[in-house]
Amino acid sequence: MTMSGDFSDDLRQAYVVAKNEFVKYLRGKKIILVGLILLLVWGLITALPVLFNESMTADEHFYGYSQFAYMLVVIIVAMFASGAISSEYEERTALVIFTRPIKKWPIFLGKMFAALMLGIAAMVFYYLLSILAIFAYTQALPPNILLSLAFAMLYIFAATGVAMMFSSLVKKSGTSAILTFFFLFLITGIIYGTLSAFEIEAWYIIDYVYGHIPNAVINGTNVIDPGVVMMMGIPYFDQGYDPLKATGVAVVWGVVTLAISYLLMRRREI
Amino acid sequence: MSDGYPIEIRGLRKAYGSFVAVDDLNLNIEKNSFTGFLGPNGAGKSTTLKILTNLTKATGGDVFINGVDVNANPKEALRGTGTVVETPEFYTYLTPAETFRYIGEIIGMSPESIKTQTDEILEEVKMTEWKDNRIGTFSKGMKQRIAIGQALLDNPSVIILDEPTSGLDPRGTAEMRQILKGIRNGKRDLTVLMSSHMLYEVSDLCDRVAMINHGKLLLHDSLEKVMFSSGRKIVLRTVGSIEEAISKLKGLKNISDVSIQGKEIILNLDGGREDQAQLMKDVVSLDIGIYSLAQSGNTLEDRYLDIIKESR
Repeated sequence: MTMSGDFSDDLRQAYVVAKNEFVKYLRGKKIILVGLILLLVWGLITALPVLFNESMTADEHFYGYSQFAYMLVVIIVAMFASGAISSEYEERTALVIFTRPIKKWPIFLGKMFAALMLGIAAMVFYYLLSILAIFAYTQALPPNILLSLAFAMLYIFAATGVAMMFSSLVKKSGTSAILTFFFLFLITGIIYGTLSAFEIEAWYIIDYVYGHIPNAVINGTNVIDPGVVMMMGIPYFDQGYDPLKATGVAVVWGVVTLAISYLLMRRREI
Repeated sequence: MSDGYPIEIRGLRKAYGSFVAVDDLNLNIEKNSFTGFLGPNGAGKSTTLKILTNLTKATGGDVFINGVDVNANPKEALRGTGTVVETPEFYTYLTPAETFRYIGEIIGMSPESIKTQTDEILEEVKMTEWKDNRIGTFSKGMKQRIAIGQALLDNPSVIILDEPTSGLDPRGTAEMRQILKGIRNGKRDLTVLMSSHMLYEVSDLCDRVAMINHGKLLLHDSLEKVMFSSGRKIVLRTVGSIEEAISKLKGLKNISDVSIQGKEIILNLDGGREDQAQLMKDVVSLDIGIYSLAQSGNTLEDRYLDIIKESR
């Protein structure tokens, strides 16, 4: 086989792996659980303002939805991407797939692609539901929905990398899911919060990216420098808002963690 | 470069820290042979097979499948190779037909070929009835039949089996052995390397045997030669006098040793099948009341134990 023929065969195999991953997602129970969580979050954000008779603008309303998007992303990657590699070893299916004429990278690429697509599909669905609700309430739409969605997708990319890194590192998918959840939910949050408390810039932490998902609604493409702001009368160090910087941070987090994940998987033996 | 053997192992070494699992192993598997790969636990059998199937990298040496270096070009080397390593599991959310389709698509088979072969192979491994049931509900024996089946996809020229009956109940073991016999006797142009602990299974299925211990090759020869290199052990039973029978049997051609074990007379016959056929005629003509003459069924086990003992 020629080099280009071999490469196109690798890509074809990656597509076959991705297809199988989708079947796994769609036939599993986790997809139902994630769907329920997503609907619950959306339902609460939609229903609570009505119940308390609060009137909100489209921007305010959308800010509410987008604020919780990152939580959904963390849940989705912890449930799916974190088991992408480890499950092959834990469930011993690697003995079937890895002994076939397929390189490791198409397997990795297929799994990564499927995990990313699932996260993106879930987020698009959540945004569509949110748009429907906002339009039903206010007969208006905020201008920066797509920018917010773009940041949500960038965060999915970075978070998927983290999840797959843990997936390549540990033996059990459960451990990988817990590590992913706590890393994205707690560890980086503690570091980001502590640095902010000391008024230290922390744009390089992954949390900087998810902060842009709701802030895009208000700030659009404007750049807000980091600095102390007053929040309910208390001085608070805001890490600022910079769409380009946040994009770069997400890309670097995603690329580096995915590269680590691939290298770990390549070296992993059974 | 390859010397035309479907499987070639040259100076293979695998070390885990200070522990050497495979130590300068050299082994060539002959075309169209069904080779039993024997050795005690920890001898290095599974490690060797894992290196052959690209699940583990060697510390030194080379392995070739159909002349292609597994380490340098695993994708090409594993093309045309079917494997069942340890007890593989399958995607529980897929049916056997979907599993074969997935693996067939990875190999690059056409949809028509996948469909035709899936039906044929499922029939061969007696799983047609469960073709569209999800594997998650299957017993270990059924999963192992699927494992053998998927290894047959795309008509491989080499099949590597690592303890294919391990962990199966007696019925599952017997069914698996029947399937393997069917594969051996079928029209495929196949070379099979199978590790096993079941010596009866090896003597029943294989035509060649390779034994290793401490990661080193101890012996590699035809089953016939391995089993009978120190003579054939023949067990006789008589309704007459054992002493009289022994004195007459000692005078027969090609008998190197005669002994008593309980109520049985044990003969050591030097020679092949023809000599054994002649012995049967001679024994009958002696008229010493022989009512049973059988070749000892434990020959491979005896040889295995002797060879492993010597290697310690």
